[in-house]
Amino acid sequence: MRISEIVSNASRSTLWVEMALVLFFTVFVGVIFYLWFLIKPEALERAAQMPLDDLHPQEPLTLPKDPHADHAHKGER
Amino acid sequence: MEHVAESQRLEKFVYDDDITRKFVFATVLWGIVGMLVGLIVAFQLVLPWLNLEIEWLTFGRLRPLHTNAVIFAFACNAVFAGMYYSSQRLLKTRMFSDMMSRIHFWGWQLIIVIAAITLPLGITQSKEYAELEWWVDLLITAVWVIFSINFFLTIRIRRERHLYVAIWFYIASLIAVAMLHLFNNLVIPVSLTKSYPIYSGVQDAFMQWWYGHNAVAFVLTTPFLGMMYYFMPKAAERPVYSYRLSILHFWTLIFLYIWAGPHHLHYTALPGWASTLGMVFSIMLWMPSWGGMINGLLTLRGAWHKVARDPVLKFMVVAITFYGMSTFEGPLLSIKSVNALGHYTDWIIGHVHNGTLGWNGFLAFGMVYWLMPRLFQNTIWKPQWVELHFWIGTIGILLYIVSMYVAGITQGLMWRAFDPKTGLLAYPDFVDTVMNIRYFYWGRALGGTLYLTGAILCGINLYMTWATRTKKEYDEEIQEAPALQNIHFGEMKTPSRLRERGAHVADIAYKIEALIQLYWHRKWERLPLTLTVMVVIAVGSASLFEIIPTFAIKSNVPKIASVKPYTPLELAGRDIYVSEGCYNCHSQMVRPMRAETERYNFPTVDPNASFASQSYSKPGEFIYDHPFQWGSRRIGPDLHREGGRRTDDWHYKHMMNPRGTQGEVLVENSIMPPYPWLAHKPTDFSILPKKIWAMRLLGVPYTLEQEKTSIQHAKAQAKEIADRIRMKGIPGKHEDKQIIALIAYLQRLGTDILKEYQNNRM
Ligand code: HEC
Repeated sequence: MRISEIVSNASRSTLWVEMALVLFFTVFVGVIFYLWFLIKPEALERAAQMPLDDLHPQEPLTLPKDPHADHAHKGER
Repeated sequence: MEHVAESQRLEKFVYDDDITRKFVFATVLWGIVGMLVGLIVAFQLVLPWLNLEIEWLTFGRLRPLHTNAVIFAFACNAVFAGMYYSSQRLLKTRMFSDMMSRIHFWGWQLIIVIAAITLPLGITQSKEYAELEWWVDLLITAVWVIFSINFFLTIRIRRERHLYVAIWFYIASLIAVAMLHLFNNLVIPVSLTKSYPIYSGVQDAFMQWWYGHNAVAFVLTTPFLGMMYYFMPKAAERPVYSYRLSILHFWTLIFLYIWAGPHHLHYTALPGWASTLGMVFSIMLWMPSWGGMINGLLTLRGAWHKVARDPVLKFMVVAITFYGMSTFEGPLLSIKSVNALGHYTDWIIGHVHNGTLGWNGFLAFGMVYWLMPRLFQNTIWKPQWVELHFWIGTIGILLYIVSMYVAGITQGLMWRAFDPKTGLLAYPDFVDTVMNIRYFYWGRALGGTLYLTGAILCGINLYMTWATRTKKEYDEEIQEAPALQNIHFGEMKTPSRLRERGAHVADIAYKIEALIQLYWHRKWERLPLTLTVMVVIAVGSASLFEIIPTFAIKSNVPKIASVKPYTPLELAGRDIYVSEGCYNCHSQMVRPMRAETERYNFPTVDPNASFASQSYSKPGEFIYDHPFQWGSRRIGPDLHREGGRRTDDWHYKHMMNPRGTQGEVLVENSIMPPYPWLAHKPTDFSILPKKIWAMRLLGVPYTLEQEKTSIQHAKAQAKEIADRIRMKGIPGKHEDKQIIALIAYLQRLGTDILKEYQNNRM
């Protein structure tokens, strides 16, 4: 079956609108969940300071002692 | 471990502000040029003689120059200036390659110059904001790719772990623009000056407005929001109100925007479900937009007193306010019933300028004024002019948009007004509706003059601040940070092959080699990549749910048997129509509303015929239209049912001068430009076989025979028309002239479907 047939045979034409909405709400809820439950407020605060200091990184990227472990920094994306 | 020790060495680096200076100059320079062209076209609409009977300066050719100049020259250069300045600082590193930054700058300016030459020459694809021909598109692609590589590699060598939200907005812009540009510009080239899009009719319209609307989203919104999130905290000297909200703003905005395009095509031949989808998502867009506006404005919490003193903050506050206004108005206009009134009128022009003059223009100027003393290490030459610029600019915007709202709603209501006594159109003569709004056109021109004056003040101030700087060599603040490049080189899987071979290559080659070999295993290294993939999914999902059904659902475009491809001469005429930019003033899309079917009826059909009221445009009528010519603004009447409405000689005279001559008045108050050169310039017959070949490649059912005989066929048809107008007393030999091809096309418009009705229903 070709895509055009599958798509054409989809029973109602509003199906696409409904699917798009469901997709959006999933993303929306996901982002909210992430922002309010997964990320630490301190991390957000640090990030918000970034434009105010052009010279010093808020969280500098230097090489960790063990280059294969990245556990020193956690709690934010 | 050796590379650990190495990494602790401190490295000195400086930000590249020279590139920002270049882009700032380009922004203001092109801004003035683009706005000046805008002002010229605004005046042409009240004083049609300003078209000067010079083909390069007519409205249809200058209007695309105006839109392209302000979007791609003014706004984009501002975006680049803001991106180069803020990204280096947010990432705490110099740009990856200065050379790539320079190629980006000069390449982009070259493209602008090419646009400024080709558009007035009538070299155009006729898709709004994608008018530039295929080879310029290739150049744009090349420059964009270089810019993107430089940008992403700068992210790669950053010294800051987290990517600030502004960088997210920039990444989304880079990716989405690339995607939009590629898909909307897929064409078959016929020559250096002509190409045909692979899509036709409904699908071409859909792709165009998917592109067009997302150009608004990803050129005029997301990068400017990125700039807002950097420069607003800078100017206010406090962090953004809510960083959390800014991330929510980002994801909802980029996810929703991409679906909204079809709201440009309400009540057209686009399928209803697509139009509904566009409407729903447009209305939802209101929320993140206002979330962003509130976030921007509340950044000033506790600092509002600064606004009174600081013109930079004034520019920014008003810019963000206009962002809120236009993102409220946009969803409103996308509601079908509101759109039925507003579409094709100046309301849309008002809406657009609300966003561009208010939001984009003022944010750009605010940023330029904030940057000026910092970039040139000098005080602003005339600080009081900044304040003056702000005020005349603001008054200019208000005058502009209020004029356009009144003009648009007035004309929209007049188009649909019926005389209650007769039950017929109250204003059947289109020109009456134009005459009624001419004072508002003057108002707009005045508003534009004020705004441009402000921009010129900015230009002088910029130049003088630069010229009066005391230091010829700028002080460069030297940053110190752990040596990052050594980290990268230390991590290379294998030793440098280039070095081993002792290859003599530029330093950039080593950098690239090192990057290619990097392990991408740590979270912070993957971050930009993850983000990019998520952005691609967000903007790509619209393709899945909107583009595929539009192309694949067969019932979207029911075939109409009597609709046939254009004759070779008509095709040539159509290409002249495209090249002259007639679509800038004329739509070819009669909407299914009584006010429209009355005005744009079948001119040759008895009003009592059973199908007389069905003159609205059907999707199947456009299947051979590469590109579609539905237009977006009716400065003149719709032309889809023009075929047979007038005689050939009327068209001839009308095109020579719509207002007629001293001896014979035609349309007294017409504001359409005259096209006298069409009677002199020859039609290019020799290219017709190539054009038909391209059309056949695109699936238009011409036979090989038709391709081979296209020249003779076209000449024969041209002779018939030329003979007819000669018999009506028009002197001269016109069969090989462009005017004849154009008339052939105009007379064909919208007539094919009649055969279907006459066969089936009469
Ligand atoms: C500045 C906007 C503008 C441009 C550009 C423009 N027109 Fe017009 N056109 C108008 C206006 C306004 C009218 C209504 C007044 C009139 O009939 O002259 C009109 C009327 C017409 C009509 C008469 C329709 C009818 O039957 O009453 C035709 C045909 C036409 N235009 C064709 C063209 C073609 C072909 C081009 C491109 C070569 C073009 N126009 C470019 C504004 C424009």
